[in-house]
Amino acid sequence: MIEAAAQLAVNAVALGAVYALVALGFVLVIGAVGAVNFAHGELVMLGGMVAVGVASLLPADLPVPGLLVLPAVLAVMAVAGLFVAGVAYAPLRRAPPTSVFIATIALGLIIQHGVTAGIGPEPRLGPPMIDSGTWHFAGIGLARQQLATIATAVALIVGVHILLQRTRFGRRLRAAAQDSEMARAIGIRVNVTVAVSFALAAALAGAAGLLLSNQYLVTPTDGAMLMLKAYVATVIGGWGRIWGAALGAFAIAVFETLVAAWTSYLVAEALLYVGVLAVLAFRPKGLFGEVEGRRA
Amino acid sequence: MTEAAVRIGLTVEGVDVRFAGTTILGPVSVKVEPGSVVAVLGANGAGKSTLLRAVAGVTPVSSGRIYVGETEISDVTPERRAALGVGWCPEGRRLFPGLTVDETLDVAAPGGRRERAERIGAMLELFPVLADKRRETAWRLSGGQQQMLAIARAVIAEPSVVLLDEPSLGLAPVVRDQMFATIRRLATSGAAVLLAEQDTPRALSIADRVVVLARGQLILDWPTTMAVGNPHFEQALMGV
Repeated sequence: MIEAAAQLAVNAVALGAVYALVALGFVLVIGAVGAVNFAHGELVMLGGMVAVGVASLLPADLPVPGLLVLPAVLAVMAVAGLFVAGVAYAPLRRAPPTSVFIATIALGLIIQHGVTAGIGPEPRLGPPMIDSGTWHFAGIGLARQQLATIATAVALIVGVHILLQRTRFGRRLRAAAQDSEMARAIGIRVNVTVAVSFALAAALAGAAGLLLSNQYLVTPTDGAMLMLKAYVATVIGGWGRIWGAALGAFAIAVFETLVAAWTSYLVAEALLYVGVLAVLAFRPKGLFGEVEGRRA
Repeated sequence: MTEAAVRIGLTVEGVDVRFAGTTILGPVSVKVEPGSVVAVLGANGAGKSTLLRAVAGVTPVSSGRIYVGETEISDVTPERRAALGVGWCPEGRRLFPGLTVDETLDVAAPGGRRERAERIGAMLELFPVLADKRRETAWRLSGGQQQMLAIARAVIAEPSVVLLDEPSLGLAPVVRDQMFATIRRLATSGAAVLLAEQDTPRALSIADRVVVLARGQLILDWPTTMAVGNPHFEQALMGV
């Protein structure tokens, strides 16, 4: 009983950490360009597919296939992010944000249908992060896959935190996200920060895709559901707030996993969206949103 | 603030700004000598902010030329203008709300880590009110502290041209006095300061020249000594 509860908690944290990666990338782009990248869910799916493809090139008996695949997924997806910026944002940066919405929706559909046409609609199994088995802590056995997933996602989140908070480039990226015109006027090259934001967002999406692909498989149509989760996490966390969105995503995953364990996945989903409506009604700025204003 | 290495001024020649086919500024010509303050006065909507935004490069000009020293900047990007020595403190401060005082100054300062630290130190000497607020996020500062930070951000790169848009707006009288004294010190150190301001008496107290805009047109450009107490100046201010 205790072991089952502990494993359930680990499952919830693992899914939460992966959703946080998805939301982190999603909100980075919102901050950078003030527009939603509706292709973000498809980038998660594409990351999973890239992981499946790269893993198929490796020998079958490697002890840590997912960890070996991860750098390649991050690199390929960063380039994909630059491609998204070049195709769906750069030509439209002076157009209203709705133009970017539509362009990214179109690009998402192109990615989804392109993958389906290229390799078929079947679900595919991504590589495990490490070899299967159980680790024992205080007499409780926990699945190594889930723990490795948590460790990988946390390492990436900490890396992003260090980049944004501890480096000058990260501070400049945050400044440009908060007021791009003012950032340009103090010498920040906003086109560079935007490009890096797209690349970083897609790399995080790709990592999330890799981490999800072994536990939940990856299907070309997964993008829409993931996109919706990222959007909801951003609303819960306070629109445009990076760490609020990550916490929001974590909360969604924990809620889903725990409620689904006692009821069913469908009930958990329904209750999740009831909760979202409640948040919107009582905390329109999100659970972690703060009132920021000018002082006299 | 250290003495500007190269004392160069600002020249605006026949600049006009149009929006949707309507001229909202100009043609306007203004010259700001290094080491001097030119006050831009006029009612709300006269075109003061538009003039400063045009010089900063964030509002495109339809015609005319802008020079920093001998270098024409009319067609260059805002980030390049910053590198060429233009510092802009916009109306409403426009601070990055999530960045701390230290972070705000760091992102605006040029140079390597050591040089940036020295520049931040110089700004904290110039604006001592910020010295014990270094780890506060900008939006938690008082209005006066926010304004000091906005000016510090504009001048930390030691620009040769400083554009200040309504820096006294919303500040208490005592803070205004400190603000205008600081602006005068910037000019004394060699900067060419273009100051758009509604507080006419205080602006005149530190300005070397005064220009008056009305409905986007420049209607007066005089030395301050000539303007003070002159009824024609008062009439120009009222747009008569």
